Amino acid sequence: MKKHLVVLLLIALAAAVCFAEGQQEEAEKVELRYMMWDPQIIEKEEALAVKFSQANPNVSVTIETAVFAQFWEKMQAMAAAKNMPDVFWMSSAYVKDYQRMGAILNLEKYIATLNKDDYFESIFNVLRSPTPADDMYAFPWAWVSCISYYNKRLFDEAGLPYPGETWTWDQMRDLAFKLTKDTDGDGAADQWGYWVKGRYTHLYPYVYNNGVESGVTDEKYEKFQLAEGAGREAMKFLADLITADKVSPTPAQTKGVSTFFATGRIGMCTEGSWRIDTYRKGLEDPFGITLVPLGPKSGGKQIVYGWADAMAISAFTEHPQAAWDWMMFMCGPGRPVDSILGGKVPIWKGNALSDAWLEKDMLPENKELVLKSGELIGAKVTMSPRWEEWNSVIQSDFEKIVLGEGDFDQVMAELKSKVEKILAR
Amino acid sequence: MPNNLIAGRFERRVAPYIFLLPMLVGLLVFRLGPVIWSFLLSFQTYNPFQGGEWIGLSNYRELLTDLDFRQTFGNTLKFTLLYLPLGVMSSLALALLVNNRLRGIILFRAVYFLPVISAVAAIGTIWAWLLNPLYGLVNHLIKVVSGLTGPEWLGSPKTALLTLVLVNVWRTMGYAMVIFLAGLQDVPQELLDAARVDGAGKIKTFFRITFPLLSPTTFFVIIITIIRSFQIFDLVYIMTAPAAGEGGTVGGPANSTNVLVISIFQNAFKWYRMGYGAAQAYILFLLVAAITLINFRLQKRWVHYQ
Repeated sequence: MKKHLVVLLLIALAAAVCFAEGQQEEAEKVELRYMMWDPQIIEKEEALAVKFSQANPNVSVTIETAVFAQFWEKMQAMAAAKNMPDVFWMSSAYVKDYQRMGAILNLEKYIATLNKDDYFESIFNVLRSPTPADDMYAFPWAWVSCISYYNKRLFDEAGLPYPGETWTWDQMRDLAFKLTKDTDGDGAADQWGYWVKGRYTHLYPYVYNNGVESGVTDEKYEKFQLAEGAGREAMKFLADLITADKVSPTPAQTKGVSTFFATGRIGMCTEGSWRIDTYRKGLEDPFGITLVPLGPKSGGKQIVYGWADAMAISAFTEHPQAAWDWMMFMCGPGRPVDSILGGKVPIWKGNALSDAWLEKDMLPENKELVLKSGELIGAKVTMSPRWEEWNSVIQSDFEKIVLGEGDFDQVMAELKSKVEKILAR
Repeated sequence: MPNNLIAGRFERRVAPYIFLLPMLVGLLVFRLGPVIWSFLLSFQTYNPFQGGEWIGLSNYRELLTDLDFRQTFGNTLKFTLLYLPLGVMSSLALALLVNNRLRGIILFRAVYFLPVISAVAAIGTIWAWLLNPLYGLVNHLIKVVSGLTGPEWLGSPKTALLTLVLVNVWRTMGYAMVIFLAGLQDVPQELLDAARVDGAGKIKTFFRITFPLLSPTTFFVIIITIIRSFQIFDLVYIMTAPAAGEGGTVGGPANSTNVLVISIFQNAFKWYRMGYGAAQAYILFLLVAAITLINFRLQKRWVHYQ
């Protein structure tokens, strides 16, 4: 009987040990959910997830995707269910809203452990919240800046010299006049010197480059700065290119075309650096890039408008350390350069300064200008809370002005009250 | 009491409710629940991250001074005022056209009905492409035939809303056509024959006999058309959404095609202002309810039931 009891006890003990070990193993297994919005690079991301799991066998990463337009709606639904992914892509436009809503983790204690010289640290400011002097709530994996593009064929045909890096608004407009033509003789222009439609990449670089250091809003995110002074001057200059100078097509004429510069009918434009990839694929003519022209109030100082493509960690994650490790893996040397297309720049300097990124055999010939523009991103360049909302109001009202639906100053006065009301909420 | 009597009572009194239960639960949870919940939301600042704070009538008060909402409200009314006559008249005309016994008429009926069953995303995308101001087929044809430059369609605030109305008329006229067709086939042949014998022409017969007898159908079509036009969303969203990276916003250009449901969607799901979006939804509800009520009052004057 005693013998049986001992055997039974031993079996129970062994079972308990096994069970405990099993539980421990269970506890160490971490399953991370990661969500992104670019379907073009999903296979590369999946390969990285496999590589990360090989190096960290206890962590597995599941990748989820949604296109940008639906990304934020999904995120909202997931937040309502307290079921957000552990790590997800974060737009500079939304980071402050997510921070204010308490949805993302403050990363400052993790960032303190990094060797910042390895990264383009000037980009970090754009993500700091609420102001560029505060804490970081998202970490960049790449960055972009706004630059000017020009169509070399149109310049060559008109016998004009390509624009240099220090050029002014007046010089740009002069060139635009010379490049605007009616090529089929029907009495209406069908080639334009410049293209502006009202996107943030078209408008705000001119605001910064006219000496308005904090851009559309003041540093406290209370005042709208485009209705008067240097900000107004930038908006008026751009609107006039369409209405008075007629060197740019109207938004009505370019309706439905993703980026009109790619049609080969435009001499110059200002756009995000990621368009390098678009124009390589879509524009049949050779093109060059340069810095955005300087406004009369710039004092000769370039203030480049640039920002980050970032990632954030959910405030509800149960595995913040594993999430951070994964994020660093995705933002570090392990991320292949070809997963960052064209004019997007890897945040890891080692990758950005490599021949693989510089692509010397492809257009534009001076791609390193993008790196230079990164050094010139203004210290006060930031994106305020509710950026997405007030930005769409500005776009819409800029269209009102250039499509003849309202007087410039009246629309700008209304815009000021609308934007300041949004900022005050 | 005999068992079969109890069973019979059970079947009569309880069993129907058991069969109704899934539908009732669905209605309560997925319809009535959100209706009540959104009414409560309209008095709050709500987003799913932070929850809501009770702010009384502030959302409604803000709507009164919101310039863009004022424009959106106006756009919705304009859309309805344009779409209602065009939509009803074209469907009626189409129904009259296909209400005869020609050989192959069923084919025509089917063809006119096709847009109704086609995906609105496909319709919107193809029309937006056809009507592109610079590269679209329609303006190309106008140029070839007349040498003139065509309108800017969806590109200009002056024509964008009308363009949407026209495409929506094209898309939906087959639906009301079928309803009118049913109504027309209900008109007693002997009345039409009697009118003809009395010497009434086709036009007189239509206005004196057919149209009055068709009035219950017309009334139904008008109600449905008004409600649908106030609720228009998908076609506007698809046709005015800027191409990736184009710039501009849904409901553009210059906010000229922004309608109530688009604005509700933008506020609630793009800008995380569920409360403000819910308040707009209740304004829409009141508008539709009021107009439907007026319609029901007015019907006594012109709707004749046989």
